Amino acid sequence: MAAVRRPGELLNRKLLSGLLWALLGTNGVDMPIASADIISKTLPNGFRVVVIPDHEQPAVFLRVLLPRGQNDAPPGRTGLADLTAELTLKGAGSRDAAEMAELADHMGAELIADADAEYTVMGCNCLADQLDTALTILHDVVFEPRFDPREFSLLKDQTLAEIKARKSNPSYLAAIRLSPAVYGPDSPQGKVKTEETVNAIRMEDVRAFHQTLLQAQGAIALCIGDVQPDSAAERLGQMFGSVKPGSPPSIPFGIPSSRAADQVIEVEKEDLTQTTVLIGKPGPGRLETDFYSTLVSNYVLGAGGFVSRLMAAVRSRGGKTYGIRSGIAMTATSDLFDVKFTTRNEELIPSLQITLDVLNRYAAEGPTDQEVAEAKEFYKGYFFLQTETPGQRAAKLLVYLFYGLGFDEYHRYPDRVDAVTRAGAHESARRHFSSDNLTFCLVGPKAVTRGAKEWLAKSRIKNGR
Amino acid sequence: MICLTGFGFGLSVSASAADTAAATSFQMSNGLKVIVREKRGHPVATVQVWYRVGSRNERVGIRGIAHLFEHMMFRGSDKFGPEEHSRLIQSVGGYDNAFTAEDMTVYHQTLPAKHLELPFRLESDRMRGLKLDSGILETEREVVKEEFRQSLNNPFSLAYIEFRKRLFPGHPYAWTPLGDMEDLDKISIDDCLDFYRTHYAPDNAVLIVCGDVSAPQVKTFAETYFGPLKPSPRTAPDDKSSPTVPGRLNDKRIALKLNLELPVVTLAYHIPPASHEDIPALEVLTAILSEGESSRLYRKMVRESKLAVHAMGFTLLQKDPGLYGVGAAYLPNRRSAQVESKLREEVSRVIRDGVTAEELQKAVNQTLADNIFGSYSADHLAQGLGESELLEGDFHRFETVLDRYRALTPEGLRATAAKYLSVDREIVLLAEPQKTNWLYVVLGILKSIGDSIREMYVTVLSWFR
Repeated sequence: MAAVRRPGELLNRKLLSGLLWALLGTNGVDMPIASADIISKTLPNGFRVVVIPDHEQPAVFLRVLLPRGQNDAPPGRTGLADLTAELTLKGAGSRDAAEMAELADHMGAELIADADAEYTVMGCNCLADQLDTALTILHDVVFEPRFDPREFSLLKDQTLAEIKARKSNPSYLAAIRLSPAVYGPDSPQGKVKTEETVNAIRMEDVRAFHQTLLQAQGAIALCIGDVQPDSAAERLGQMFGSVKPGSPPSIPFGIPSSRAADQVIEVEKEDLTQTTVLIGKPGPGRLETDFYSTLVSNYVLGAGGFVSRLMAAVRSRGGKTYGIRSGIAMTATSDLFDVKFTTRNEELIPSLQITLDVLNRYAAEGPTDQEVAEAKEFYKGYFFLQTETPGQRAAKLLVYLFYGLGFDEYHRYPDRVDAVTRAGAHESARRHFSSDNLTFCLVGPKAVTRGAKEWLAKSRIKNGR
Repeated sequence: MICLTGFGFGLSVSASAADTAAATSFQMSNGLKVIVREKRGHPVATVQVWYRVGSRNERVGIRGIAHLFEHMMFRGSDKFGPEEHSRLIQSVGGYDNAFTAEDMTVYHQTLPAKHLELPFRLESDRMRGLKLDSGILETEREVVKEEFRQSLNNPFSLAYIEFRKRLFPGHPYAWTPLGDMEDLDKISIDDCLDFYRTHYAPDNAVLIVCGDVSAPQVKTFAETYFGPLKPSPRTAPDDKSSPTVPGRLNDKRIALKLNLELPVVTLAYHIPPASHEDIPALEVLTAILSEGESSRLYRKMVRESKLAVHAMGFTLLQKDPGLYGVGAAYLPNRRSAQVESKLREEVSRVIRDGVTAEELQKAVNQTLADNIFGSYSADHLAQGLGESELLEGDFHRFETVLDRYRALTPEGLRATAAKYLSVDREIVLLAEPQKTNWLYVVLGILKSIGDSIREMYVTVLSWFR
């Protein structure tokens, strides 16, 4: 609250940079911590406990990763993992939702409950002297959520409101159409949270999903901050030692075998002066052997912001868009490779043409030695920025440990980036970033998207696709 | 040491544990002010250049030039080519960005601390050696217009633009930094040169450096790279030439019908400039009314009455008069009049009954915790110092905000609320869906009737208790 928070200051030269850096932010980085400082142990039930002392500030960051997420929701109930996670914060143990909020706000604590595709994270950021209270809250949130029907109803309303608000955003409209089209609506990658799926969720679904979450195999409790490590590890061990072992999480999920390609999806929005374009096809996952080559290669293509090929061609030289980027999945389960931009309606076809030309040329020629060298230097240096705060460190560690990559992924990260060759980056470009098998989603006025659809049909037939 | 005594507890962090470092500053002979905040613990540094120019310094005819100019600043200088700045920063693992607001334009980069010298070289070069030509202007003009269209196609951004127009008549705050589409088309290369020579000079800028740096090292780099730059030969921006008070409002109720599905109502009030002595009280009132789920608005509007799905508040701080606001987003099956009335009731309750000492203490606690969590990030610290320096006129205020909050009293808060948030100063801002769904209208009326009956029932019951 002390800092000036100004709703009007968001005018940013590179709004897409938020997207860019979020994208980059999911990548792995090394962390300058000495292994000797870390306590890491696995309890008899399989629950892993990690404590990392950090005395920079009198604060503690607690996280609990539970090994099930959005992909584990039953068919027709997409949104269940998010609802379950959020509902754990709306009353737990001896406190109802209002009492919990009151306590957390009085402490200045931040409570966290987020469901990701493959896992769910609960946590609390607090001042160091409040660790006892924070651990009590975290215990209650994980083990004893009240699942109050009134809070459930309110949370559903809030989720429906969020969906309504997002429907004003063309990027959202494109995103919810592309994945189901590419992967099929029932696959983990193609499932989309809609008003229909949220309305279908019942309290018994939430209770059942919570029980699914509480499995020790694959689960991790992590504490970073101003703590006495042995004591913190012991307390976390006591807290999570009684969780049933359960079964290991099933990641990565497989890719559906039958997928349609070369589709053009039109989403009609007559009043728009710009068309939003989202192009995608099945891409790699985080655990594939060519991950680092793909990471470096994607930086050169479209994740490197203003130094990327797509940005140079579509924005800097043509002025046709405010921004364009390409993205790859950071989940163990493989997901979309996609390219996104928005352009004024009259420039839609020229922008598509340039984008496809860039993809084709890049797949054919690959990056230059200098481009690969710069991308590698970027990732090697960027790890310092990505691990600046304990919250950032916690997020990365949890994912690495959950995916079985271990602490080694931290310490070997620069070496792994350094090992990427131009040939490897080119091979990744050829495998993942060519314009073959793309599905296009266009959000804009019908006449505009129809014209582009016809142009795509002609040009891609002409080019033998 | 933390003392917890029920819900009235105050937090006190032991001085030995808390980071008690303070920012220092020095002024160079060419007028450049340099602020340094050392922060050890992680090898990251942030370098930011804050220019005392924003859309506030524009006039009709060149609305949008400050933001357009921000784009031009990335298109190269005599020494560096287009986008070279970003390429060099990214090549060492850093990132750079910029934003334009009403009162400032800010260029910032965060990078591994060992490369601290690089941003000094780049920022000093473009401060006085920017390359401007009509080709670059034409490209960036189109990019900026694309960004503008993107905002116009988003109903919430559009609402912000339209509300500003009506809230600050006769003042440059009436337009956002996006400017005006017609003006953007008219801005010439001469306008840009004039703008650059006037505003981009060391005597109109503040250099802020935070992170794993030393003040002597920063001073050496500042003198080496910025020292040779001459102050602006043109008249320095004159605050007195800018109107300091918005014109008289034509309407105290501004209702917009937009292409959105989630309506939002806000009660807004003009407040004094950011440096005014009443601002801390208004910030704390914002916290009490709307920060966290234990805030008054969340409890009353969302959790208890279920009229809204989200409640919010803001203190929009500007160099000239700003804006205070409380608002709510609600599902379309609620009546806007009822939501609006409930918001008004809560603001009136503060004026009538005041706030409690516990609520005030909670705001202090939250600020203390926010400060500690935020101090891990060099970028966060630089941002806070910059806002305080440019908006309040003194960067020290960022570090001493808790002192001002602790000096407040419940009675003082009540008096401030009465002074600024009275009904006669209220402006209603309403953003509603264009399309009327009659089912929702009927449901809204039924909900109002139901609420009235329930209130009557509760009142009658209370007579017999």
